[in-house]
Amino acid sequence: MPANPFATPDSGTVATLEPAQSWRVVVLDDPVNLMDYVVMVFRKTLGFNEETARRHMLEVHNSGRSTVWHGSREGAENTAFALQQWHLSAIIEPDENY
Amino acid sequence: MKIIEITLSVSAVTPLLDLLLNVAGELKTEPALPQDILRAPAKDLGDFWRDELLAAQTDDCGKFFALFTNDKFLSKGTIQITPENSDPVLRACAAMRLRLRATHPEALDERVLQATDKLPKDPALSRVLLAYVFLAELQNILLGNRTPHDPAPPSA
Repeated sequence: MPANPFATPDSGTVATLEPAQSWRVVVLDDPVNLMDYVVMVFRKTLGFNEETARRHMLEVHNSGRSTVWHGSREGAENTAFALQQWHLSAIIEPDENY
Repeated sequence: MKIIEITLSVSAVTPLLDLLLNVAGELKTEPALPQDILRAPAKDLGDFWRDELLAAQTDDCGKFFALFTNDKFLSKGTIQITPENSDPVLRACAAMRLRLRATHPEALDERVLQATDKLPKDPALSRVLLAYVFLAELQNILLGNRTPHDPAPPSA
């Protein structure tokens, strides 16, 4: 029997919407860079004021890591790259909580 | 930031510069940061990311050594830090310190760094330690002379 030419095809493209993935930039502690240097880099690359920059630097020093930025993947890559150009140990991670 | 002039002992600094020239040579092909840090951010950008970092640190080290290859340093031991070379010099110092720490762990372990009053007996290790401390002191001078308004907001 010939196939029905008016039947709905059983294959095709299905578009679904998912929330955009958020990313974070985390700076890890290193035993080399000076505390004042890290504060200066945070101020210069992230636009932090002195108090915020120092708080994040101390978090890196005491806890081993500090999240310094949240947002899109591209923004996180740009931010991590800027921090790495100043030789800070910056990594990006998916951020499920943001 | 104002212009800063620092006068150094040429005879004391020159041996350190010989060592640091080798370090800067390594930084032309090896990023200052450990490989596991560089791998994390962008697997799909790997080579481009690495090449850009290498180019930037090579340029920064070039500006650092330009401080020591002029008549002012050779005749009087004076180096001049300006608003234009301050950031590259700070970054170059950070890159070379990271590289020294990675490649000379025996000279720069915590025990040695805590005992600042005595140098290692081995002259080679002693030179590594002095170079490491020299770079930190230079960074401290530059950081201490920045004005509160020096940091600009990020452009990105």
